[in-house]
Amino acid sequence: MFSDLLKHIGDLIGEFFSKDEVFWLLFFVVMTGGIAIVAVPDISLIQIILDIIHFFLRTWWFWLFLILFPLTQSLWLYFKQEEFKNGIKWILLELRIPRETDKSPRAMEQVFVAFHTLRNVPGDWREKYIDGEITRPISLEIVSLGGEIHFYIRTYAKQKNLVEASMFAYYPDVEVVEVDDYIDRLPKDLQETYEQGQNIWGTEMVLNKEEAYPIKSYAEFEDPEETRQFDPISTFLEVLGKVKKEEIAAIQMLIAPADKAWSDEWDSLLEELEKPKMIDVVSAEGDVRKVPVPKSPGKTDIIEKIENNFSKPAFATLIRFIYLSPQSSFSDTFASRGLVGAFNQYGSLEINSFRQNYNMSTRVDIWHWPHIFPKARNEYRKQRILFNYRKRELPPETWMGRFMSSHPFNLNFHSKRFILNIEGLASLFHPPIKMVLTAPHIKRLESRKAGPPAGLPIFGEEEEIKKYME
Amino acid sequence: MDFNNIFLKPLTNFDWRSFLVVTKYFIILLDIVLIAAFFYSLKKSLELKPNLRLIKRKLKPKESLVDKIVTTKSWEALINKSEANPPQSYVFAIIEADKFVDDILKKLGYEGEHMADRLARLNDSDVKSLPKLWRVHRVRNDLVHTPDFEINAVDAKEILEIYEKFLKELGVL
Repeated sequence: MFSDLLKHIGDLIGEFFSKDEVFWLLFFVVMTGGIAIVAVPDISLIQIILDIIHFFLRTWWFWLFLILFPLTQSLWLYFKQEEFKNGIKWILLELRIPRETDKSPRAMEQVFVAFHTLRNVPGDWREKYIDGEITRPISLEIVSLGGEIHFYIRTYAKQKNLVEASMFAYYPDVEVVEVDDYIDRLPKDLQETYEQGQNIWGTEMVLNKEEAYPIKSYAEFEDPEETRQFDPISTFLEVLGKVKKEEIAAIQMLIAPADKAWSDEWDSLLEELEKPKMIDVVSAEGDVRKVPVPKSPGKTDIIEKIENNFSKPAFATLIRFIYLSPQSSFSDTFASRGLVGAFNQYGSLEINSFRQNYNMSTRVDIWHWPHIFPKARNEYRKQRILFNYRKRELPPETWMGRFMSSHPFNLNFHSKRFILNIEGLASLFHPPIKMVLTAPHIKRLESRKAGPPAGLPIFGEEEEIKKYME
Repeated sequence: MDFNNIFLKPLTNFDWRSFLVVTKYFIILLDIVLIAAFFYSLKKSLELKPNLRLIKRKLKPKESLVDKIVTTKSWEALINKSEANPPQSYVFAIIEADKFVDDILKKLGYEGEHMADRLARLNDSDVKSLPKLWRVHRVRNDLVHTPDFEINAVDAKEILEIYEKFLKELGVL
């Protein structure tokens, strides 16, 4: 973090001094100062320094205010937001998937559109600074408890009905059940993990390039012909299904609805891409003319994909996973290769891809910066990732928050969220389509559901019927 | 003339000095409020921040479960017996020592079907002699399962010492 900061400051200074005007201004100031000191012997350097000190002594109150104000604001927001987070009541819903779903992930995309309307943001000063309101995230989880795969959605208790309804609207066969949180089956901290004879591996995923570039979406895996249909989620299921009986592997995607205007930030990038390349053409008479070169089909394709990406609402996403295994059979290659590998499917060289957030991953070695205490730092990373997973923790929004939640051996400046649109999310998390239902590991629903015949007479008092209308 | 009257007069007549003093005290007041708010939120944040401290809970036997004196005495008795009738007594001593360690592990609450399961629950970084213990445990298994397995006095003593070291590390001797 500090090296980044220093580098950034260095860049800024470098950029500042690389300008001609600045050079000439400095040159002028130094020359005048030099001449003044040489020509007028009364001005001594010590006198100047004393004057500066004197100036600061008389105006300290102003500088103190300038420093204290942002620090206090940031720290205040942190503790208010933590209180807000602790006050939210959550529930965990399990998706029981039937033997046969012929729905394309496109249906899940529509579910996410519905989820996006649940967005809450602090509307005024009071909500921001007194209530500490933040956008409540929804957690999408694919968890393998000893090889048995579960799909979970954790959400704000009051939004349960809305989440259920939007799932039911697009996936009438999927059963949504409220269940006890499996998190309680995980060890509470690293020490307890070791006492249970287990070890842990975990990491977070981030995007390789700017958020403007989309990831490879489910649409590219689809085809009208059955032999050419694939479902990227099948790789996750295969990897998670391989988990042994005592092991747990879990993927967590924390999604918070982002502003509808999320793409504004990237307008300049798109403009840059759309700008035609100009070349100089010398005519027979010797005039030089600038002529645009037509874009290559590949580049046009990228622009189209970016525009498509911008056209859909998006979520601030954080992907995190952990793998718990008995000490004897623990191997971090399974998790790192298998799970990270499954994310590679969504990558493509010309658009975007996933990579590990190496500063969060629990593999520290001495060859990477800052080269000290690799073992202790690794232990603290394990502790952090387990804590974050258990709490479904979002990184603090404020600088002071990140600073306060840091530990001397584990600074909390690395956890990062990125914007992913609903199409990308639907590719990552959806009930598997028919093609992968041969995988034997998912906890499934054994029967199909069907609606009652229309116009079925309903008997009962008004009060009793109301129960079913909710 | 008009310019002077309209713009310069009010500026020069304005009491800049007292304005500055008022501003100064106002900002100092704000500073005090900010300091108070800062320390208040600092206190709150310290309560709310995640506690990531790694507590090294040592593998300490519960006194009521494993009595140190009794264990030490019976372990000494076991070692003494091993000298009684070499080389046969060495073999018995090793098998008994293994059982001894296993019983201690059971008492300490390590669960599992076999001794190997119980050992698997221990952590290399907590018990330094664990790899060695695995080795001698395998030797013991060979002793039991292979007929005519012979062991000389030097090896036997080394094996018993490893068991002893392990028990000492667990804190029961």
